[in-house]
Amino acid sequence: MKGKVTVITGIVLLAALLIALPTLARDPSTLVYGADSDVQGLSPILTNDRVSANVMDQIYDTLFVRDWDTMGIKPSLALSYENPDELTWIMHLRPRVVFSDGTPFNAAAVKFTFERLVDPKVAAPRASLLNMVDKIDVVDELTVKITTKYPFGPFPAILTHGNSGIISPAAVAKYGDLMHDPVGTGPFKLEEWVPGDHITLARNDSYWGDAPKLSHVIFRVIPEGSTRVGLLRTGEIDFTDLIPTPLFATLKDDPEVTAVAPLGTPIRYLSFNFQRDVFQNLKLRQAIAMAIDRRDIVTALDGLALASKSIIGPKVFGYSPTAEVFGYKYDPEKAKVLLAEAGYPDGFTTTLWYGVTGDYPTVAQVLQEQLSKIGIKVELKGLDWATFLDATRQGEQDMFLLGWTNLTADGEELVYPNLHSDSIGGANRSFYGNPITDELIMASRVNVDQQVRLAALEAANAALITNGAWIALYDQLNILAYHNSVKNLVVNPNQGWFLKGVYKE
Amino acid sequence: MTAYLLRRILVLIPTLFAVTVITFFALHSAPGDPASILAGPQASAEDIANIRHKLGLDQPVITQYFRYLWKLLHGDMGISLTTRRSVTEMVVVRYPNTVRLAFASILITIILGVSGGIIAAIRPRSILDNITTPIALVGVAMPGFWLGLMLMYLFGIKLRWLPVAGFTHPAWSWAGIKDIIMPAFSLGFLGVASVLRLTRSSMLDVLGKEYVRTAWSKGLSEWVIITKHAFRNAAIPVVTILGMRMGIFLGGTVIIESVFAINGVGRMVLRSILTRDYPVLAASVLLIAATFVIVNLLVDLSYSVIDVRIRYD
Repeated sequence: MKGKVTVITGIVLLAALLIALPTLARDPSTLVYGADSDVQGLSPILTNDRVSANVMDQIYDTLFVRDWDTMGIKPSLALSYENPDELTWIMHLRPRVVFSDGTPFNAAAVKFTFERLVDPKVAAPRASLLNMVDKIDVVDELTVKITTKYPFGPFPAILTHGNSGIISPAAVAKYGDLMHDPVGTGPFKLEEWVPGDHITLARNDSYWGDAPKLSHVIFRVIPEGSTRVGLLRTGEIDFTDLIPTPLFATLKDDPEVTAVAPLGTPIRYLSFNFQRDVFQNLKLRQAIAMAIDRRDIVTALDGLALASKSIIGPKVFGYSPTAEVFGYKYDPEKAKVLLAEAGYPDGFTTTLWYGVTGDYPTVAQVLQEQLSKIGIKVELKGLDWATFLDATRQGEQDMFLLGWTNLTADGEELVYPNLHSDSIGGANRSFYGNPITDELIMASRVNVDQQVRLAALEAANAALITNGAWIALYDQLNILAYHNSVKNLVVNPNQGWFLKGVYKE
Repeated sequence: MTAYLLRRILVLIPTLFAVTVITFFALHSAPGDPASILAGPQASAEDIANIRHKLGLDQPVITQYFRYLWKLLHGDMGISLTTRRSVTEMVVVRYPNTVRLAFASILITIILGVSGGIIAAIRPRSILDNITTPIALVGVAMPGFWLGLMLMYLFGIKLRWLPVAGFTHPAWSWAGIKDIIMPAFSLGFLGVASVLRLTRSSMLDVLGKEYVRTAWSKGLSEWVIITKHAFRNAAIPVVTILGMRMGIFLGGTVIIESVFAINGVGRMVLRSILTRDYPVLAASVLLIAATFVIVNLLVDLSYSVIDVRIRYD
């Protein structure tokens, strides 16, 4: 008898529990974002991961920002710059700007930030961003003079990079580093942080620009893509990005959700370890390039990619549509001939290395199948990201698959770190260097005239493509999905977004 | 009893010491470098070298280990390489969530497994007996993350009865209980089959004993016979397996916490492996190991409560 009572009570309780619907508190002044990973920290100097950057983009300002319509540079904390000579950059700063701790933004803060970024004792991940800087002088409260060691044309573009965001010197004096106590001049400031769970930002009332429409922004950590999609569909989060491509279709069908996928700067490519003799052979590289049908890759990615033969992508300064003409077209018959001429009539066996994350495993399988058709037997080596980054830097790979998100959207920030011989041992995982391309890349660095730089980048791009340094596969589309109530939300080609103009209806 | 307890606690020390050695050296011998991860694919060789130096990664592994152990003995679990936060601080936020998930899962296993097993045993070959076993077997065959995603789709997105994911409410509130139902079920359902089958066979064994027959002939109610006379004697193997399952559940939190966006130690383990965050991983594994050892100590102690004939001297 007692047993029956327990069972009945249990059933009643369970039913009551199921009927009680979750109440969805939808506060129109609070925006909730679903992030795919934990935020490492909130110091622009000490971090270099995308999720941290997304949060910091709302807290800090850079001196300049990219104008994505014109691909030029727009003022932000700096109003303008001038070059009295090729080595000197005089920045005129915005007046009446204060950090969220109330201290003034001025030339001293710029000097402090940049000197800290390059200080070897600080060990900033992106210290190399400013390694051309020789000295920084405070001319007056709102003027700073930066002298470079050599003429450096992309300097204004570098200053749009999130890692060059200006930090409050007073806050550093108070907290040490700003990993957990960010203080910037941006539209929002930190209100609450439960590590690994969520971060809440509140409107910064002393912000210099138009007041943000949202009062709070919450960054919730939701690692699993399908979980983020679920939370978006039920309205528990307002927006998310970078979800796995197969889930994009589900969101497209949901009338309450808007899902967009504009073209971005991230490129995905196949490259070679040029330390291996076999890959020194141009004909062999051409054969591989011609064996690849990019259409199959795009299909495998549910159409969410733009096939391109250009190393510098369409959304990056230095791209020219003529680059597509230089690229090798899909021609498996000619590829076989070239492979025979290269001395491998029966093909050869090699390995393809990639990190097991995102689209790479899918793309690797497509490439394996396509290369097998011209007789190249590819063994796939999928590694976890940490192992992959380290192994490829050591040069253990034969061929490898990787990508590059061009944060400054300047082609120099792609070809110099990846394909110039100076960068071997660093990001140049191809161990590639060629006197002609080295010189063209250098020309894009040492010239201050942006038109000259553009021509140099276009030439470097064409030369790198024809030489088969990298085989560009596709440019990524930046998936962004948001609830229909969210307005004015745009994802930039470099995957960044700014929430100061965003609101909810 | 006290002497036994002391002895058991003393054994904990070498066990946990062995755990620190294994995790530390296994992780350091794995390929991949935390400095490369921190610096990202764009970094120059110089940037990486600076980070390695700053984090002390350029020291010999054995030096790093003893430095870690020395700090650990002083109650300092170190500083995370990626977040530069104290590991203790990171653990304090997450550990309660993992414990909450693991215990809720055990509870699900007990409720479904033990009660299912008892019902199946007292009515062998009845309809109930015939359906509980297949259901439980399906549970074993189903991976927890898949079950989790299916539950999420059905109850979270389609029916909207339960929140899709996350522990966003206080544990002891109504909403907090709703937060935990799906994750605990996804993790706990796996254990139901083994507990159910063990309870059933253990109960069947006891129900055939003479003292149970005596109890029946005394005219005691079925409830009293089942709970007091039969189940208490059948419980020891069941409690033992529940203690062992705790290890599986703590391991399972690694996946389930990711699927359900729960900020727990399991997810921290996964993330610290991916970023090679040595201090965080070492601390998480140590904590999970300690939890497992302590739970099993409690299980051993519970024997004397369940069966008064068992004494620890």
